[in-house]
Amino acid sequence: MRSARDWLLGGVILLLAGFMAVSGCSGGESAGGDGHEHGVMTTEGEWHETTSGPDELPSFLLRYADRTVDLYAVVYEHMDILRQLNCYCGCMDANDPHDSLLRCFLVDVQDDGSITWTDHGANCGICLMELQDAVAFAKQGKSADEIRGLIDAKYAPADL
Amino acid sequence: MRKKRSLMPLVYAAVVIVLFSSLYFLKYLNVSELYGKPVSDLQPATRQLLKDPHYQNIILPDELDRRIESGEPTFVYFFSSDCGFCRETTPVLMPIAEELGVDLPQFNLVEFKDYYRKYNIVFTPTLAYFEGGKEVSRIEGGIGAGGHSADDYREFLRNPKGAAS
Repeated sequence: MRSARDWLLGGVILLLAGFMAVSGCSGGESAGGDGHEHGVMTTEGEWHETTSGPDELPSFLLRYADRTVDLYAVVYEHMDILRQLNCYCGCMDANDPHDSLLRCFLVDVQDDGSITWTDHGANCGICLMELQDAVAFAKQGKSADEIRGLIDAKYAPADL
Repeated sequence: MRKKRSLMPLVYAAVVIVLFSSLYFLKYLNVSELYGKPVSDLQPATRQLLKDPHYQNIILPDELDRRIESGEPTFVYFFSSDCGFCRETTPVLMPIAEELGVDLPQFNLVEFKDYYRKYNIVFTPTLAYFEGGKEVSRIEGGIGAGGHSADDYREFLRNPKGAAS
């Protein structure tokens, strides 16, 4: 009798543990979408994903248009310019880690060369438009200062 | 007597399991009617817009596909709840659509991200016109710094085939 009760208690504990594991997992998956992506959802609702380097783009881009993928593909090589540009998507407001247009696409480059990307820019028309313009200006041979001026003139809200 | 005592673990187990599982299903008590999903599953930016009068004509993925595939002419306003240009554009655009008597379904891409690729949306907001199951024209980027005026949108809603993006 006693051993039967022990079994029962053990069963209950296992059930609970299993349930918590299952509900925990499903929560994580829904945040990531199809569950094939490897990344984390931040409290701001951004999806962050780390890849081995600039040649490997994050898998979340599979859900976006080709033009968006093409734009992400040129972020790394224009990093030094993008770092100096303002982003006018409203993401540079207080309490936010966004300090430049670069941060709308790329969070961090680690010492080993791996890159953490964010999907913020892919969901942000202004970010992509600024990026497209900045890259076009850079191709014309404009300096970072000139590009910043042009971007500010076009995108800065009139009331600032 | 012994038999009665041996039932207690079962009772405890049942109570604990019911309590824990109800925690998981609690979110379904608060399902957004607009999005057909629990509010806690929505993006923070979307939650802010749930009661906004300019964001009440939300269309969901299945309905969007059906509407486009039907071949009937339709406009679709593709936006993202966390996009700055969209926030500037929507409150201007929706009253224009209403004034012109155009039904303008709004599709929130940030909740259904696969649809960026499906309908080839790059710059939110994108106002697109479909006919015969295909996209005929679109206007990208929004009002103001997005590169368009309110009149551009009015003209597009009036004459979507004449306007180019």
